[in-house]
Amino acid sequence: MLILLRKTRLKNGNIVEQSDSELRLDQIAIGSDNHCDMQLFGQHIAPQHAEVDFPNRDQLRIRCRPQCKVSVDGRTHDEVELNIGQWANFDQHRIAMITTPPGFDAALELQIDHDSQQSLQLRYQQDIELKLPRNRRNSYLLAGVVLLATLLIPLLGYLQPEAGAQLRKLGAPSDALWSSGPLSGPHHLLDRAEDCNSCHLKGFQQVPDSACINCHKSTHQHLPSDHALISGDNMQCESCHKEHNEPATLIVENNSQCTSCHRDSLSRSEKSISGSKKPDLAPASAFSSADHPAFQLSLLQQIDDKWLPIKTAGDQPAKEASNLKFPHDVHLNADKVHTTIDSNLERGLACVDCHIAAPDGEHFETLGMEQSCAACHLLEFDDSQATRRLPHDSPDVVYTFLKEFFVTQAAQKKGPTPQARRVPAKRAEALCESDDPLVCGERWAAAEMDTQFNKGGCVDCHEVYTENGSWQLKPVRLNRDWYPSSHFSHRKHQIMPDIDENAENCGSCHQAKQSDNSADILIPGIDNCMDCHDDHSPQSLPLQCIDCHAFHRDALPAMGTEK
Amino acid sequence: MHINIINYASWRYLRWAIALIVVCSGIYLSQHPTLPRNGGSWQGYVLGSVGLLLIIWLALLGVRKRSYHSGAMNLQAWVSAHIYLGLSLIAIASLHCAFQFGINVHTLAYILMCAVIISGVIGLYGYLRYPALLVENRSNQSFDERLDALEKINEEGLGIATQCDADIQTLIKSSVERSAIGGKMLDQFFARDTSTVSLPQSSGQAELLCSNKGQQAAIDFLVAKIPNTSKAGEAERLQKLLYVLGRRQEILRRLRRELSLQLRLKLWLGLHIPLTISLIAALSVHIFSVFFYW
Repeated sequence: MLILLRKTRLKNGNIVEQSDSELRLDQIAIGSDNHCDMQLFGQHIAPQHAEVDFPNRDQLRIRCRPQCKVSVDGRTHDEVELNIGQWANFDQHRIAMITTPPGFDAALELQIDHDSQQSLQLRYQQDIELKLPRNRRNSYLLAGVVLLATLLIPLLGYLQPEAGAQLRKLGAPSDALWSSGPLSGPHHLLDRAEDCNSCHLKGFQQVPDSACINCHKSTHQHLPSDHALISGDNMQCESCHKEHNEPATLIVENNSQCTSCHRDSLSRSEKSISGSKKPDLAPASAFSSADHPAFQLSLLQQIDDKWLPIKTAGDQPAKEASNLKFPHDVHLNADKVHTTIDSNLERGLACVDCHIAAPDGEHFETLGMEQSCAACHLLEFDDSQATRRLPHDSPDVVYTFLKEFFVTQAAQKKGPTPQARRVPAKRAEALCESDDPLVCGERWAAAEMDTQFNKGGCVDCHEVYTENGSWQLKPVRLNRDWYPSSHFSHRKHQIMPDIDENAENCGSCHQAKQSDNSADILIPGIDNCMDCHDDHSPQSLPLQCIDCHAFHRDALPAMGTEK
Repeated sequence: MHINIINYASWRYLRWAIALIVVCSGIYLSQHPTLPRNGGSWQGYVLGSVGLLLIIWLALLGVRKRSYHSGAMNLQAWVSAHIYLGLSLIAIASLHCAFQFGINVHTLAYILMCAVIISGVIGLYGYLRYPALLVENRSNQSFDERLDALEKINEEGLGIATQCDADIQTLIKSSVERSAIGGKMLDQFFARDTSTVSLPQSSGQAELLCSNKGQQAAIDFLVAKIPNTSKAGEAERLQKLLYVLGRRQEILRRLRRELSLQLRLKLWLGLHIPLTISLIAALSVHIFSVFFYW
């Protein structure tokens, strides 16, 4: 709409200047800002003070911005509607609607009080005031947000778990914000990983062992029982297992964790850990000949009909007592022993032909007649019937088998065929002149038993004896773990590509080729390890205690069952 | 060489900061290789404590600068140390946390610390650069003196305009009244000229409120008027008014630039201080939470 604006400038109440101008606007902005359509200056006039429009041709409406006022007849208003001739005051200035002249849609008269003209200092006072942020307010605000989001709301969730669960559903922060890092993979159990309190049972207290044992009931102890020297403080799970450290391991591989106790003999007190006055363990502070005790072999011994692993005393040469005769040197001598096990070519035996690695990479599958010997040692006993073989069983079973065989032979008028290696002068058929096949069969069976257990056959491998006139075997017990308190990965030590094929490689540690007696201990001692792992050697590959020794000992009760 | 907060005492505090970083790196590297390096080892606790003490000391600059009688260490030395030790904090905190970061309050504290340091670097840039620009802009005239000069030239212009046509009077009056200095934060920061002028129109046409950036609209209007003057001496008066508008433009520009530089000199504190306070809050929660969930 086209508006006639008549400006009258007054000084001491007298008109000093009058001018008309035209505005083509529907709404007029009033204020001290230079973008206002009607710019007025005064102490109480805001940059954007009010807006003026015309609800109809005879009315003027003034709407003030917040905290701004207009006064009419001495009364202040936020919004006012005026009729023609009614004056509204903005500070010292007045405005009124006047009779609209022809050609215009509305007409306004504005009386400007020249006396209220301000100095530039006053006029630009607000504009030149530096618009700096309110540091104090912003500081409190930002710090408040930080405290609320990272402390108060998570703490509320800790103190009121139900409210905390509700808040978490709404996306509110939780005590997960206090986590110093991701949990290790195995601890990512859904119901536990999200609940800090499944491990952190009490505020300002380290995670107690009970929190671990809650789940790890079946994990074995390190000590057989509580000990005066070993208090709960230095044997906490948390001492060795550091969580929230991913991607690193959960286990602290630090020797000092072990040597803090083991650098001295564990007989420091009057009573050692096991209760005896003798030191349980020699001191160990590092892996070297000087700092680590010699390895103690564990050998099977028969005690009261039970075979038990017994640690050898270091001052006596150890001997195996497996009751099996097995000369490694003969079997590894390609000139004497050949095999065609896995090819048509004849070749000497290799270690791996008998010793099959177990899946754990450390041990080997149990040796037995069927798996290890039967391919070569066929147990044939009668040259005329090469397919007939002795059962690999107890002497009673063998005797019964032989008796049945020779009784049948006698009935058919056939005597036992002497094998090439037997002395021709003692031909078996000459020993029986009876017509009763039962008598001859029994006699020939007894003769064959005597041969097997006294001359050649079973006695080649087994320790035999007679009891009440009958042959007996000493039971064979092969050791499977010579160092049960430590572990050694054969798999990790297969650094030579053809180690499985070549006995020489196994022989770099196990002196099998020089062993003519199964009583020989072929398990190397600490000196063998020192070649590569001596802590005092600059070229060595250092070992941590837990590289060989497991802290949780399988032989001891589980933590959850005894303490 | 000019001594300032950077090279104070022959770079003494730079050397201190480097020494501190070297010592802290040694502590960090002393963590056993089989133990994952982190803030929870004794080395981590030592580095964290060093960082915490540094942050508290750095924050105390706000107290020290208000304490005019404190003579133990002069303020210039204090600020120089504040800068270098503050910068060294990035290294110390990184070594403390062993470069482990995540979505948690600990990393929040680290981020806030970095934000504080970055805002400080911005402030340092301002302190080194803007004072010289301010002196150059002032050219021996203070802000108030220049405002007085503007007032005088305004009066001179209005005086000349009273002898001219009503159009010219309206133009000069509008140009004077609607000249802008400063304003909102961004106007002040960028020294924006948001001046307007109500240009007189021929009869029957409404007034036109348009931008008068650089007083250009008013100058163009006057220039267009000069060839069409009919009164004696009108062209000369218009020439004088052109001079007045040009002079005003220069004064206004310098006033705006003064405001802009003053604002830039102080605005960084608007980040530095709230971030510092919130850093102290986050740090408190960091320490609380570490020991609460030990």
